[in-house]
Amino acid sequence: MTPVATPFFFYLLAALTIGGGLLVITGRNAVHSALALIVTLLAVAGLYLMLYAPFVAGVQIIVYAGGIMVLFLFVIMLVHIDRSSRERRFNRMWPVGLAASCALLALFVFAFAKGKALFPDRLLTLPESSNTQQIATLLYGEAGKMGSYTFTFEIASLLLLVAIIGAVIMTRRKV
Amino acid sequence: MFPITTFHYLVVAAALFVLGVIGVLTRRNLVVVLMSLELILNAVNLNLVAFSRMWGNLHGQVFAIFITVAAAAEAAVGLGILIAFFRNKETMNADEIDLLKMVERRQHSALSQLGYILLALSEAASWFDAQIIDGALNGVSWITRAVATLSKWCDKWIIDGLGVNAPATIARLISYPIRLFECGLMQWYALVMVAALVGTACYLLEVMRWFWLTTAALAIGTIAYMLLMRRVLAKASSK
Repeated sequence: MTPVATPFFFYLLAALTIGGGLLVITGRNAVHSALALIVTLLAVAGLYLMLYAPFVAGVQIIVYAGGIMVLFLFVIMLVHIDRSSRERRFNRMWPVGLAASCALLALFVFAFAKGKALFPDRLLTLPESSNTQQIATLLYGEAGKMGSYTFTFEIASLLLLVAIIGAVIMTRRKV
Repeated sequence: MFPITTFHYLVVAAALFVLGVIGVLTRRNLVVVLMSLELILNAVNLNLVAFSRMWGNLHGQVFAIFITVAAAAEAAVGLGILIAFFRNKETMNADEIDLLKMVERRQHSALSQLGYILLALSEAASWFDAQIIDGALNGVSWITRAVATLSKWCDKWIIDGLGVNAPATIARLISYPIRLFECGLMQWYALVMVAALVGTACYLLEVMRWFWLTTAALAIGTIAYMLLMRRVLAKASSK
Protein backbone atom coordinates (compact mmCIF):
# COMPACT_ATOMS: atom_id res chain seq x y z
CA MET A 1 0.00 0.00 0.00
CA THR A 2 1.49 3.27 -1.05
CA PRO A 3 0.94 5.95 1.56
CA VAL A 4 -0.66 9.30 0.75
CA ALA A 5 2.43 10.96 2.12
CA THR A 6 4.13 11.27 -1.20
CA PRO A 7 6.86 13.85 -1.84
CA PHE A 8 4.48 15.69 -4.15
CA PHE A 9 2.04 16.32 -1.31
CA PHE A 10 4.86 17.39 0.95
CA TYR A 11 6.12 19.96 -1.52
CA LEU A 12 2.59 21.20 -2.21
CA LEU A 13 1.87 21.65 1.49
CA ALA A 14 5.27 23.21 2.11
CA ALA A 15 4.69 25.68 -0.73
CA LEU A 16 1.24 26.52 0.68
CA THR A 17 2.74 27.01 4.13
CA ILE A 18 5.56 29.29 2.99
CA GLY A 19 3.37 31.18 0.51
CA GLY A 20 0.68 31.72 3.12
CA GLY A 21 3.28 32.97 5.60
CA LEU A 22 4.63 35.39 3.01
CA LEU A 23 1.12 36.73 2.36
CA VAL A 24 0.55 37.08 6.11
CA ILE A 25 3.54 39.34 6.62
CA THR A 26 3.10 41.35 3.42
CA GLY A 27 -0.65 41.79 3.30
CA ARG A 28 -1.82 45.39 3.32
CA ASN A 29 -5.24 44.52 4.65
CA ALA A 30 -5.35 42.67 7.96
CA VAL A 31 -8.29 40.56 6.76
CA HIS A 32 -6.17 39.30 3.83
CA SER A 33 -3.40 38.46 6.30
CA ALA A 34 -5.89 36.51 8.40
CA LEU A 35 -7.12 34.53 5.38
CA ALA A 36 -3.53 33.76 4.35
CA LEU A 37 -2.85 32.66 7.91
CA ILE A 38 -5.80 30.24 7.68
CA VAL A 39 -4.25 28.77 4.52
CA THR A 40 -0.92 28.39 6.35
CA LEU A 41 -2.55 26.74 9.35
CA LEU A 42 -4.47 24.27 7.20
CA ALA A 43 -1.31 23.43 5.25
CA VAL A 44 0.54 22.84 8.53
CA ALA A 45 -2.34 20.58 9.58
CA GLY A 46 -1.78 18.65 6.37
CA LEU A 47 1.92 18.34 7.23
CA TYR A 48 0.92 16.95 10.63
CA LEU A 49 -1.18 14.35 8.87
CA MET A 50 1.83 13.43 6.78
CA LEU A 51 3.81 13.07 9.99
CA TYR A 52 1.28 10.54 11.33
CA ALA A 53 -0.13 12.94 13.92
CA PRO A 54 -3.87 13.04 13.17
CA PHE A 55 -4.85 14.21 16.64
CA VAL A 56 -2.51 17.20 16.50
CA ALA A 57 -3.80 17.95 13.01
CA GLY A 58 -7.36 17.93 14.32
CA VAL A 59 -6.40 20.18 17.22
CA GLN A 60 -4.66 22.46 14.76
CA ILE A 61 -7.77 22.78 12.60
CA ILE A 62 -10.24 23.06 15.47
CA VAL A 63 -8.31 25.34 17.83
CA TYR A 64 -6.18 27.36 15.45
CA ALA A 65 -8.15 27.66 12.25
CA GLY A 66 -11.47 27.46 14.06
CA GLY A 67 -10.98 29.29 17.36
CA ILE A 68 -8.00 31.60 17.26
CA MET A 69 -8.67 32.81 13.75
CA VAL A 70 -12.26 33.66 14.62
CA LEU A 71 -10.85 35.64 17.55
CA PHE A 72 -8.51 37.48 15.19
CA LEU A 73 -11.29 38.22 12.74
CA PHE A 74 -13.49 39.50 15.56
CA VAL A 75 -10.76 41.89 16.66
CA ILE A 76 -10.18 43.04 13.08
CA MET A 77 -13.90 43.67 12.83
CA LEU A 78 -13.96 45.64 16.09
CA VAL A 79 -11.15 48.03 15.19
CA HIS A 80 -10.97 50.42 12.29
CA ILE A 81 -9.30 48.53 9.48
CA ASP A 82 -9.48 51.31 6.91
CA ARG A 83 -7.00 53.59 8.56
CA SER A 84 -4.27 51.03 9.08
CA SER A 85 -4.71 49.57 5.61
CA ARG A 86 -4.02 53.00 4.14
CA GLU A 87 -0.91 53.62 6.22
CA ARG A 88 2.60 52.32 5.87
CA ARG A 89 2.80 48.58 6.37
CA PHE A 90 6.28 48.41 7.83
CA ASN A 91 7.78 50.41 10.63
CA ARG A 92 10.69 52.78 10.38
CA MET A 93 13.22 50.16 11.52
CA TRP A 94 12.28 47.53 8.94
CA PRO A 95 15.81 47.20 7.39
CA VAL A 96 17.21 46.38 10.82
CA GLY A 97 14.49 43.82 11.46
CA LEU A 98 15.02 42.28 8.04
CA ALA A 99 18.78 42.10 8.61
CA ALA A 100 18.28 40.42 11.99
CA SER A 101 15.88 37.92 10.43
CA CYS A 102 18.38 37.20 7.63
CA ALA A 103 21.05 36.61 10.27
CA LEU A 104 18.70 34.13 11.95
CA LEU A 105 18.08 32.44 8.62
CA ALA A 106 21.83 32.22 8.03
CA LEU A 107 22.20 30.62 11.45
CA PHE A 108 19.53 28.05 10.54
CA VAL A 109 21.19 27.32 7.20
CA PHE A 110 24.57 26.91 8.88
CA ALA A 111 23.22 24.61 11.60
CA PHE A 112 21.22 22.47 9.16
CA ALA A 113 24.09 22.22 6.71
CA LYS A 114 26.38 21.06 9.50
CA GLY A 115 23.88 18.66 11.04
CA LYS A 116 22.20 17.23 7.97
CA ALA A 117 24.05 13.96 8.28
CA LEU A 118 22.61 13.38 11.73
CA PHE A 119 19.09 12.85 10.42
CA PRO A 120 18.11 9.35 9.40
CA ASP A 121 17.21 8.81 5.79
CA ARG A 122 14.05 6.86 6.42
CA LEU A 123 11.23 8.07 8.58
CA LEU A 124 9.41 5.79 10.98
CA THR A 125 5.80 5.01 10.31
CA LEU A 126 3.84 5.56 13.46
CA PRO A 127 0.61 3.67 14.12
CA GLU A 128 -2.08 6.10 13.03
CA SER A 129 -5.22 4.45 14.34
CA SER A 130 -4.11 4.41 17.99
CA ASN A 131 -2.53 7.88 17.93
CA THR A 132 -5.28 9.62 19.87
CA GLN A 133 -5.45 6.82 22.41
CA GLN A 134 -1.72 6.98 23.03
CA ILE A 135 -1.80 10.74 23.47
CA ALA A 136 -4.68 10.34 25.91
CA THR A 137 -2.61 7.79 27.83
CA LEU A 138 0.26 10.24 28.05
CA LEU A 139 -2.06 13.06 29.14
CA TYR A 140 -4.45 11.34 31.52
CA GLY A 141 -2.69 8.09 32.48
CA GLU A 142 -4.29 4.67 32.49
CA ALA A 143 -5.67 2.20 35.05
CA GLY A 144 -5.58 4.61 37.99
CA LYS A 145 -2.02 5.67 37.24
CA MET A 146 -1.15 9.27 36.44
CA GLY A 147 0.25 9.85 32.98
CA SER A 148 3.48 11.63 32.20
CA TYR A 149 1.71 14.90 31.50
CA THR A 150 -1.33 14.85 33.80
CA PHE A 151 0.04 17.54 36.07
CA THR A 152 1.11 19.62 33.07
CA PHE A 153 -2.37 19.19 31.68
CA GLU A 154 -3.90 20.62 34.86
CA ILE A 155 -1.42 23.50 34.78
CA ALA A 156 -2.46 24.17 31.19
CA SER A 157 -6.10 24.35 32.25
CA LEU A 158 -5.11 26.86 34.92
CA LEU A 159 -3.24 28.86 32.28
CA LEU A 160 -6.37 28.94 30.12
CA LEU A 161 -8.46 30.08 33.08
CA VAL A 162 -6.00 32.88 33.80
CA ALA A 163 -6.02 33.85 30.13
CA ILE A 164 -9.83 33.98 30.08
CA ILE A 165 -9.96 36.17 33.18
CA GLY A 166 -7.14 38.35 31.84
CA ALA A 167 -8.83 38.85 28.49
CA VAL A 168 -12.15 39.75 30.15
CA ILE A 169 -10.47 42.24 32.49
CA MET A 170 -8.44 43.74 29.64
CA THR A 171 -11.47 44.38 27.49
CA ARG A 172 -13.72 45.73 30.22
CA ARG A 173 -14.44 49.40 29.79
CA LYS A 174 -14.01 50.25 33.45
CA VAL A 175 -11.71 48.12 35.58
CA MET B 1 12.70 11.92 -5.97
CA PHE B 2 14.56 11.26 -2.79
CA PRO B 3 12.36 10.45 0.20
CA ILE B 4 11.11 13.10 2.52
CA THR B 5 13.06 13.09 5.78
CA THR B 6 12.85 15.03 9.03
CA PHE B 7 15.28 17.48 7.54
CA HIS B 8 12.72 18.68 4.98
CA TYR B 9 10.20 19.38 7.69
CA LEU B 10 12.82 21.25 9.64
CA VAL B 11 13.60 23.43 6.64
CA VAL B 12 9.92 24.26 6.17
CA ALA B 13 9.60 25.03 9.87
CA ALA B 14 12.73 27.21 9.81
CA ALA B 15 11.39 29.17 6.83
CA LEU B 16 8.06 29.66 8.60
CA PHE B 17 9.89 30.73 11.77
CA VAL B 18 11.98 33.31 9.90
CA LEU B 19 8.85 34.62 8.17
CA GLY B 20 7.20 35.03 11.55
CA VAL B 21 10.24 36.82 12.94
CA ILE B 22 10.28 39.18 9.97
CA GLY B 23 6.59 39.91 10.53
CA VAL B 24 7.06 40.59 14.23
CA LEU B 25 10.05 42.83 13.64
CA THR B 26 8.86 44.87 10.69
CA ARG B 27 5.06 45.13 10.69
CA ARG B 28 3.27 48.08 12.27
CA ASN B 29 -0.20 46.62 12.52
CA LEU B 30 -0.48 44.88 15.89
CA VAL B 31 -2.98 42.30 14.65
CA VAL B 32 -0.52 41.21 11.97
CA VAL B 33 2.24 41.10 14.59
CA LEU B 34 0.14 38.69 16.63
CA MET B 35 -0.51 36.61 13.50
CA SER B 36 3.25 36.44 12.93
CA LEU B 37 3.59 35.17 16.49
CA GLU B 38 1.17 32.40 15.56
CA LEU B 39 3.41 31.61 12.57
CA ILE B 40 6.40 31.24 14.90
CA LEU B 41 4.48 28.95 17.24
CA ASN B 42 3.35 26.85 14.29
CA ALA B 43 6.93 26.47 13.12
CA VAL B 44 7.89 25.21 16.57
CA ASN B 45 4.95 22.82 16.56
CA LEU B 46 5.97 21.49 13.18
CA ASN B 47 9.48 20.88 14.47
CA LEU B 48 8.15 19.04 17.50
CA VAL B 49 5.85 16.80 15.52
CA ALA B 50 8.61 16.06 13.00
CA PHE B 51 10.96 15.03 15.79
CA SER B 52 8.15 13.02 17.33
CA ARG B 53 7.92 10.98 14.14
CA MET B 54 11.71 10.74 13.92
CA TRP B 55 12.08 9.25 17.40
CA GLY B 56 8.96 7.21 17.20
CA ASN B 57 7.23 8.43 20.36
CA LEU B 58 4.40 10.82 21.06
CA HIS B 59 5.96 13.23 23.54
CA GLY B 60 6.58 15.75 20.78
CA GLN B 61 2.92 15.67 19.80
CA VAL B 62 1.84 16.23 23.40
CA PHE B 63 4.22 19.17 23.54
CA ALA B 64 2.65 20.52 20.36
CA ILE B 65 -0.79 20.33 21.98
CA PHE B 66 0.46 22.23 25.03
CA ILE B 67 1.97 24.85 22.76
CA THR B 68 -1.41 25.16 21.06
CA VAL B 69 -2.98 25.78 24.48
CA ALA B 70 -0.36 28.44 25.22
CA ALA B 71 -0.98 29.99 21.79
CA ALA B 72 -4.71 30.19 22.49
CA ALA B 73 -4.05 31.88 25.84
CA GLU B 74 -1.56 34.24 24.24
CA ALA B 75 -3.96 35.15 21.45
CA ALA B 76 -6.80 35.83 23.90
CA VAL B 77 -4.74 38.00 26.24
CA GLY B 78 -2.83 39.68 23.40
CA LEU B 79 -5.99 40.62 21.57
CA GLY B 80 -7.52 41.81 24.84
CA ILE B 81 -4.54 44.10 25.40
CA LEU B 82 -4.89 45.21 21.81
CA ILE B 83 -8.55 46.13 22.30
CA ALA B 84 -7.70 48.07 25.44
CA PHE B 85 -4.88 49.86 23.61
CA PHE B 86 -7.15 50.68 20.70
CA ARG B 87 -9.73 52.08 23.08
CA ASN B 88 -7.10 54.42 24.50
CA LYS B 89 -5.25 55.58 21.40
CA GLU B 90 -7.61 54.85 18.48
CA THR B 91 -4.78 53.19 16.60
CA MET B 92 -3.41 49.73 15.85
CA ASN B 93 0.17 50.72 15.12
CA ALA B 94 2.93 49.12 17.16
CA ASP B 95 5.17 52.20 16.97
CA GLU B 96 2.53 54.37 18.58
CA ILE B 97 2.55 52.43 21.85
CA ASP B 98 4.29 55.11 23.87
CA LEU B 99 1.92 55.73 26.77
CA LEU B 100 4.68 55.00 29.25
CA LYS B 101 7.26 57.12 27.45
CA MET B 102 7.92 60.37 29.23
CA VAL B 103 9.91 62.01 26.41
CA GLU B 104 8.43 63.36 23.24
CA ARG B 105 8.44 60.79 20.50
CA ARG B 106 8.98 62.95 17.43
CA GLN B 107 11.62 65.54 16.68
CA HIS B 108 9.96 68.90 16.44
CA SER B 109 10.26 70.90 13.27
CA ALA B 110 11.26 74.55 13.40
CA LEU B 111 7.69 75.61 12.71
CA SER B 112 6.25 73.51 15.49
CA GLN B 113 8.95 74.80 17.85
CA LEU B 114 7.90 78.35 16.98
CA GLY B 115 4.33 77.27 17.60
CA TYR B 116 5.25 75.91 21.03
CA ILE B 117 7.10 79.17 21.86
CA LEU B 118 4.07 81.20 20.79
CA LEU B 119 1.88 78.88 22.83
CA ALA B 120 4.07 79.45 25.89
CA LEU B 121 4.04 83.22 25.33
CA SER B 122 0.29 83.32 24.99
CA GLU B 123 0.00 81.15 28.09
CA ALA B 124 2.21 83.62 29.99
CA ALA B 125 0.22 86.58 28.67
CA SER B 126 -3.01 84.90 29.70
CA TRP B 127 -1.61 84.29 33.17
CA PHE B 128 -0.39 87.90 33.41
CA ASP B 129 -3.77 89.20 32.32
CA ALA B 130 -5.69 86.94 34.71
CA GLN B 131 -3.45 87.34 37.75
CA ILE B 132 -1.78 90.78 37.53
CA ILE B 133 -4.07 93.03 35.49
CA ASP B 134 -7.33 91.67 36.80
CA GLY B 135 -5.83 91.46 40.28
CA ALA B 136 -4.77 95.11 40.21
CA LEU B 137 -8.18 96.08 38.90
CA ASN B 138 -9.92 94.16 41.64
CA GLY B 139 -7.60 95.65 44.27
CA VAL B 140 -8.25 99.20 43.12
CA SER B 141 -11.97 98.64 43.06
CA TRP B 142 -11.84 97.15 46.55
CA ILE B 143 -9.89 100.13 47.88
CA THR B 144 -12.30 102.53 46.16
CA ARG B 145 -15.23 100.79 47.70
CA ALA B 146 -13.62 100.88 51.15
CA VAL B 147 -12.90 104.59 50.82
CA ALA B 148 -16.42 105.22 49.65
CA THR B 149 -17.80 103.35 52.63
CA LEU B 150 -15.61 105.34 55.01
CA SER B 151 -16.63 108.56 53.30
CA LYS B 152 -20.26 107.61 53.59
CA TRP B 153 -19.87 106.98 57.32
CA CYS B 154 -18.04 110.29 57.73
CA ASP B 155 -20.75 112.13 55.86
CA LYS B 156 -23.51 110.46 57.82
CA TRP B 157 -22.08 110.68 61.31
CA ILE B 158 -19.68 113.67 61.26
CA ILE B 159 -21.06 116.15 58.74
CA ASP B 160 -24.73 115.36 59.05
CA GLY B 161 -24.50 114.20 62.64
CA LEU B 162 -22.26 116.66 64.43
CA GLY B 163 -22.66 119.57 62.02
CA VAL B 164 -26.35 119.56 61.27
CA ASN B 165 -28.39 117.16 63.31
CA ALA B 166 -26.66 117.80 66.62
CA PRO B 167 -27.35 121.61 66.70
CA ALA B 168 -30.85 120.97 65.55
CA THR B 169 -31.36 118.43 68.32
CA ILE B 170 -29.89 120.81 70.88
CA ALA B 171 -32.11 123.61 69.62
CA ARG B 172 -35.12 121.37 69.84
CA LEU B 173 -34.19 120.24 73.34
CA ILE B 174 -33.77 123.87 74.42
CA SER B 175 -36.99 124.87 72.78
CA TYR B 176 -39.10 122.71 75.09
CA PRO B 177 -38.44 124.75 78.30
CA ILE B 178 -38.47 127.99 76.36
CA ARG B 179 -41.83 127.12 74.94
CA LEU B 180 -43.21 127.29 78.47
CA PHE B 181 -42.76 131.04 78.40
CA GLU B 182 -44.73 131.44 75.21
CA CYS B 183 -48.15 131.16 76.71
CA GLY B 184 -49.83 133.81 74.56
CA LEU B 185 -51.10 135.96 77.47
CA MET B 186 -50.66 139.72 77.14
CA GLN B 187 -50.20 140.08 80.88
CA TRP B 188 -47.26 137.74 80.71
CA TYR B 189 -45.50 139.77 78.04
CA ALA B 190 -46.20 142.91 79.91
CA LEU B 191 -44.82 141.34 83.04
CA VAL B 192 -41.64 140.31 81.21
CA MET B 193 -41.29 143.82 79.89
CA VAL B 194 -41.71 145.20 83.40
CA ALA B 195 -39.11 142.75 84.65
CA ALA B 196 -36.80 143.84 81.89
CA LEU B 197 -37.33 147.46 82.81
CA VAL B 198 -36.69 146.74 86.45
CA GLY B 199 -33.65 144.73 85.52
CA THR B 200 -32.34 147.54 83.34
CA ALA B 201 -32.90 150.01 86.12
CA CYS B 202 -31.10 147.77 88.57
CA TYR B 203 -28.27 147.35 86.15
CA LEU B 204 -28.01 151.05 85.62
CA LEU B 205 -28.15 151.65 89.39
CA GLU B 206 -25.64 148.89 89.90
CA VAL B 207 -27.72 146.91 92.27
CA MET B 208 -27.68 143.54 90.60
CA ARG B 209 -28.65 141.79 93.77
CA TRP B 210 -32.07 143.40 93.51
CA PHE B 211 -32.30 142.41 89.93
CA TRP B 212 -31.89 138.72 90.68
CA LEU B 213 -34.28 138.90 93.56
CA THR B 214 -36.82 140.70 91.47
CA THR B 215 -36.44 138.21 88.66
CA ALA B 216 -36.86 135.23 90.98
CA ALA B 217 -39.90 136.78 92.56
CA LEU B 218 -41.35 137.47 89.16
CA ALA B 219 -40.67 133.92 87.98
CA ILE B 220 -42.28 132.34 91.01
CA GLY B 221 -45.21 134.66 90.81
CA THR B 222 -45.61 134.06 87.14
CA ILE B 223 -45.59 130.27 87.49
CA ALA B 224 -48.09 130.51 90.31
CA TYR B 225 -50.19 132.81 88.22
CA MET B 226 -50.03 130.52 85.22
CA LEU B 227 -51.02 127.48 87.24
CA LEU B 228 -53.89 129.45 88.68
CA MET B 229 -54.98 130.70 85.31
CA ARG B 230 -54.76 127.21 83.85
CA ARG B 231 -57.05 125.90 86.53
CA VAL B 232 -59.45 128.75 86.01
CA LEU B 233 -59.42 128.26 82.28
CA ALA B 234 -59.90 124.49 82.66
CA LYS B 235 -62.91 125.07 84.95
CA ALA B 236 -64.30 127.58 82.53
CA SER B 237 -63.97 125.20 79.55
CA SER B 238 -65.40 122.25 81.49
CA LYS B 239 -68.54 124.26 82.18
